[in-house]
Amino acid sequence: MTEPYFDLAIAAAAVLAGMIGALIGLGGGVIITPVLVLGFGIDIRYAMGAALASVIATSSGAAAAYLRDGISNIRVGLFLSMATTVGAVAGAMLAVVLDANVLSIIFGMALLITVGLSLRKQKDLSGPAANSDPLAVKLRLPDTVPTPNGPKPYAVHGVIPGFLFMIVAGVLSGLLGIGSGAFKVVAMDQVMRIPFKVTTATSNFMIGVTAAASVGIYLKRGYLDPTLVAPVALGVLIGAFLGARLLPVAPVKILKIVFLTAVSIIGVQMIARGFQINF
Amino acid sequence: MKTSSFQSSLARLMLGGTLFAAAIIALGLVWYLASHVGDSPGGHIFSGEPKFLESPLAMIHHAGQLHELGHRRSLIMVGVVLLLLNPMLRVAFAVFGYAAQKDALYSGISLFVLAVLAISFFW
Repeated sequence: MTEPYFDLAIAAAAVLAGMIGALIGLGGGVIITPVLVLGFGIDIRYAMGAALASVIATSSGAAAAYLRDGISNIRVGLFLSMATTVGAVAGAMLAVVLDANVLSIIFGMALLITVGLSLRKQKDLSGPAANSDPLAVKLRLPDTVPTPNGPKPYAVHGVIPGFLFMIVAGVLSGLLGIGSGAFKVVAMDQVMRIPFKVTTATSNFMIGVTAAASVGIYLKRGYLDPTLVAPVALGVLIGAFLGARLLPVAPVKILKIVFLTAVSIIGVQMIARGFQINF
Repeated sequence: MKTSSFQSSLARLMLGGTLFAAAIIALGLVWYLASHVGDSPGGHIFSGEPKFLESPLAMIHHAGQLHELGHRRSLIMVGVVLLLLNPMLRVAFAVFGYAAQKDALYSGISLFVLAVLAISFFW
């Protein structure tokens, strides 16, 4: 395939990845990297660089929409960003010394865990503001969430475990060039027991900030190939926008089953590729 | 900091910045492809990137050097760097917002995050 058809094919794949990501609640980054590696034969390091840039683009767009609605908890986002950014820098430094095959294996495992997390039984553990962790109160983390009956206050728990979990989410983001949104949401709604609506919005605010912490290292190591970043970032951005528009009318349950199955198979293939097994 | 005017101006900044960066990337990609019709892609085997694409300042300088090889790719990278600066602006905005409200704790926290971003990006 010659230019410009190769880039157009990549852009088309990126639009699909972004759209599917938005529809099933995974980021486009975690889907586009294996597509580039397995489908287009692109080196995993270039794929991760392009995916990370697309993560920043979509997170900025999505976070903007949530901010307007006043659901994001900016204090929680900034406080936890201290953990994710430091983790992301460490992860990116680790990524540049690891072998591409090892990265492929870790990526495949992270994909499988991500699928597991999105299949888990959703349980909103949030409760009244009075029961907050004293440290959360000191940091002024508890806030209100808008409801039809006016703003409703909520508590924030487990500040230290949540913070430590976020360091891990940051490392994964820097190591694999993903937004690690699924991990961030779990840390906030299961460990810190923040309401779902707030965790999704706040994680979008944080994903871009986290990704920005490792992208500079990717840049200096030459992971950002402009001719790959451009079609991938633009494609995922357009796809995510279309996906968000389709969300209210799409058969989300069926799509989730179909694509999470596909993502699991891709995860296994990434692991097999790392071990140099072909099937 | 909870005021809706702050949140909506931050939202506008983020959306506007993203769209502006995306437009530059699109322009750079079209410009690049226009001179590479019929070429075989082949550039996706890992070899790192030329030095001028590895630092933001060198890139902007290079994009202006119209007679040199690779300036069309530099234009894409200028757009990519603008895209990457968006989250940094988001945090910088928070530093000033909290400082204006004399909120020492949160201007400190945002400043820490901004420092991590700036060091990893420009160092």
